Order: sequence, then structure tokens, then C-alpha cells
Amino acid sequence: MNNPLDLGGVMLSVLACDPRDQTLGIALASSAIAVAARCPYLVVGKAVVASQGFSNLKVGPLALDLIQCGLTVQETMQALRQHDRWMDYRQIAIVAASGEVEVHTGPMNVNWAGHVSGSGFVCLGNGLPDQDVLAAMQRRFIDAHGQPMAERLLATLEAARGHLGPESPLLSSSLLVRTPGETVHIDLRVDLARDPPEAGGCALTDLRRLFERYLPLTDIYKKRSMSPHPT
Amino acid sequence: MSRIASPSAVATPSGSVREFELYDELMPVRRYKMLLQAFLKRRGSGSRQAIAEALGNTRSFITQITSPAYDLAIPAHHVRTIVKIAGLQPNEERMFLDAYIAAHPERASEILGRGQSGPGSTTMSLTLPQLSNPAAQRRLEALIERFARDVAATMIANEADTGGHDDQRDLP
Repeated sequence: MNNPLDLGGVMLSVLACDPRDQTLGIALASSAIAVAARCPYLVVGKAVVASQGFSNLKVGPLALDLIQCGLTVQETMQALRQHDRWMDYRQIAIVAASGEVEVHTGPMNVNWAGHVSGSGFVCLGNGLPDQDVLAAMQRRFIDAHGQPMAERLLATLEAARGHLGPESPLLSSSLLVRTPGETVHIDLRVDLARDPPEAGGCALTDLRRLFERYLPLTDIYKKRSMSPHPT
Repeated sequence: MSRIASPSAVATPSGSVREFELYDELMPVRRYKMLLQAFLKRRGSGSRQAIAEALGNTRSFITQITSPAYDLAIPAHHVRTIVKIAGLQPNEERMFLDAYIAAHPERASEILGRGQSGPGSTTMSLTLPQLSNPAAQRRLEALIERFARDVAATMIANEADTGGHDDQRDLP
């Protein structure tokens, strides 16, 4: 019997850090709308969290709060496991700026749900047809080594598209990348794909278009934030 | 097959059982207890027993005041002793006390002012042996502090009972 709270569809995330400059990033895509309003949480220079599955809006802020209080990612997840009685329904990933990774996929997530992680990154998803989706994402992330974090995360999500059927439309997406000391950061979101799925609409396509429009502007935003007066 | 999991239940201090909800109105209390629990785990086993001994309470009571699974807040007059016995690092102590005061702002002066002298108080210094075991040293100091506090409380109570006119015939 399906849980009536399960809206169906798929949810995908990739989180990563670059310990060299403590850049943290997360990219998400979902069959639900406005995924960026519920799932990604980030504190610059500290950690990034994905709270998905049957998510509780307080999980992400609490996890980041505990990390800022000095708990490790393992201690933070342990605290959540011990004291959130609905952890079986949750899917939570934490990546610290130090490179530590901790991830939880509860057994009550719908369809195939799971995660794969490596040094400084984790890919996770639920409502998936099988584990091939995450394997493709993992391969893409590793292959994209050397690319800027935002591009790498976005490309990792795009690797999943070929493994998703029409029953898993992507209606919303998000890309968030922050580096300590940077005056301009990437914080983009598609709350609802421009076109409906039956017309070929996809929130990842929209996010890619938005990203390519925004990226050239970051230099301008950076320059004018430091020196707005034209010389 | 139903996909609804049966919720875990947690015993309250009264022994009754309730459905545990992490994110309720007691979250500020749970928050500082979550921090303390993690810090105590870093110290290894035995911390709770040492705290129980220093506070003069049972281990069960210590579990209740230090576990986020119980509603019971940590009494303000126990906070400094717990911090000392647990051997919290300075940053851990700061985080824990900040969280405690955030949960109980009305107790801030008691927490922050504890140990400071002021009107109506006097300071006595005591020379103690330096033990080789730092944990044993902390326990020794906490036990003496507790003893001094208890004796002072008894004397203050006696003074209040006698209106402050007690003679000194009991003294050697």
C-alpha cells in the first residue's frame, strides 16, 4: 500500500566539498516542485546538508547547528538517529568542509533508495528505478575532476537523466555553491520547469540554461561589489 | 503491507511512556543535551558514574538530566560540576554553556556568576595534592566543592532558623 504522503517520483542530490579552499556545493533535482525550499542547507566554510525523503524542515538547520557547535558529521548523524523517531523515512547527507562525509538512507524511502559516496562527495536518491542512476552520477562526478565545483555538480545530476523514465519527470532543481571569502556565489533554483513534462520540460535543462546565463555575470557582480564606480 | 513504522517510545522521568518527538517545544533543552551527550561520549565510559558521584545523585538521575531522550532539564547548580567532571575542552564548554543559557536565559546569571565572589561571600583557598590522573583530580576537586557547598548550605539554613544569633559552642 502506498503511503498517501508519498507524492511519487524521484529525488536526486549530489553534495561535495573541495577541502583546498573549503568550497561546498550541492545540486538537487526532484519530481516535486520547489525542492530548493526544503532540501539543501549550507553554512559557508562549515558543511552542506541534504535533507530529503520524507524530510523534516528542522533536520537541516539542526544538523548544521550541531556541526557549528563542534560535533563531527558522524556525531551529528548519530544524534539525529537517536532522537528522530522518523529516521527510517528520511534520507540525509552531510559533507563537512574538511571533507568528512556521513549519509543515511532510511529503509522506508520509496522505491529504490540509496547513496554512494567517495572522498569529499556523496550522491543520493530515492524513488529511483534502480541503483544504476547513482552509479552513473558517481562516475560522472569522478570523471569531472578538475572542473569547477558548480559545473561538476550540475554535470553529475545530468548523468542521471538517461536512467530515468517518463514516470520520473524532474520538475524542480537547485544548484548552490559557496566558498569562504567569495563575494559572489552561485545560488540558483528552478522551482517549476518552464514546460510541462509531456512537452519535454525538464528542470535540469532549465537549470543548465540558467547557470550558463548566470556564470558570465559573476565576474561583473564581483567587480562591481568591490568597485561600483566606473573608472 | 503497511509502510508506517511504529514510532519508538521513550520513558519519561516519571516512568510513563510517551511518543518521542525531537522537534517539539523542548528542542532548546534537547539541543544542549545532545551536545553534552556527544562530548561525554568523547570522554569514554565512566563519565556518568563520576558525575553521579560528584553530585551525590544516582546514575539513573544523571542519565535523565544528561540524555536528550528525557525532558528533565539540568539544574543550574549542577552545570559547573558537570562541565568540570566531564572534562570538557574550552570550546566544548563554551558551546555547551551557550546552548544551556539559550535554553534557560533566566539562569544565565547563576551559570555565569558561579564561582565569583561578591557581597555576602568570602573566598577560601585550599591546598590539594596534585594527583597523577587528571580525571581523579577533577573528581577530588568536585567532591570537595560539593562538600563545601553542602556544609555552607546547612550552616546558612541553621543561621536562618536561629535568626542569626547562634552561638559558637559547637565549634572546637
